[in-house]
Amino acid sequence: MTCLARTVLTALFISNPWVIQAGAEENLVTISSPADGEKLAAGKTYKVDYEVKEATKAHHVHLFVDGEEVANGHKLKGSFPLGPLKAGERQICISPVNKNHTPVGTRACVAVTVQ
Amino acid sequence: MQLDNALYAGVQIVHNFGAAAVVGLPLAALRFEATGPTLRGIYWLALLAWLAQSASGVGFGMVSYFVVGELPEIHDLALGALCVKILCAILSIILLAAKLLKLAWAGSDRAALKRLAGLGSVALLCAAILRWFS
Repeated sequence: MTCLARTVLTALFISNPWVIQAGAEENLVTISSPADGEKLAAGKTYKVDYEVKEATKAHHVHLFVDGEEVANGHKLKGSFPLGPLKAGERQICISPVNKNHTPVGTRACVAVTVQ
Repeated sequence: MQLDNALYAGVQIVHNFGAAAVVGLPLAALRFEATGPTLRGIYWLALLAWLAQSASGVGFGMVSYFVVGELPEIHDLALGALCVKILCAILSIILLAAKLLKLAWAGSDRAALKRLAGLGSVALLCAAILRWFS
């Protein structure tokens, strides 16, 4: 049953020339701060500054720290408060998503060292 | 017109009318003290509405997966709200099936209608959480 449903939907959507191919490969968002490889102090609060390209299908963004979603924001250019973070290597990512919380572009990520 | 937006909108239309029906039908039946064939008709409509809610709920995920190419990113609070919505749908469908099959454990019509209105209201509350959190 599941297989049949999947086949029908695939035939309807994926093979349809009108289908909007997954935009999940596009880089729609940039993180301007912190910089990739930046060293941050443990226990301090920072800001993550980001910007989503104009005229994209992104409706809002999700913020991830070490793979865990910690916030979402409805501005396509803005900032999130970050931290305080524990010491160690941390990965901060922002994912552009549509109104259904579905990613529409690749996550922008930076790696920081918290000391 | 963008295909994904058109499909999301179509699914949303079904979901919105279903949401109105799952709360409105039992409340209307209580308010107007529906009985007999009218009440049975309301049970059937409410069952149809919950099935439409379930199908359209799955539809949101299917449009994301098959058209946009990814499943929605939902966690924690939003995931909890989704689970409660699914539970409300399951319980309501079971209760409605029991009423339509005239099973004794389903209780009185008035009690069943109150439970259905309650389950519908909880599902609507969870829908708002699911919409604005992720």
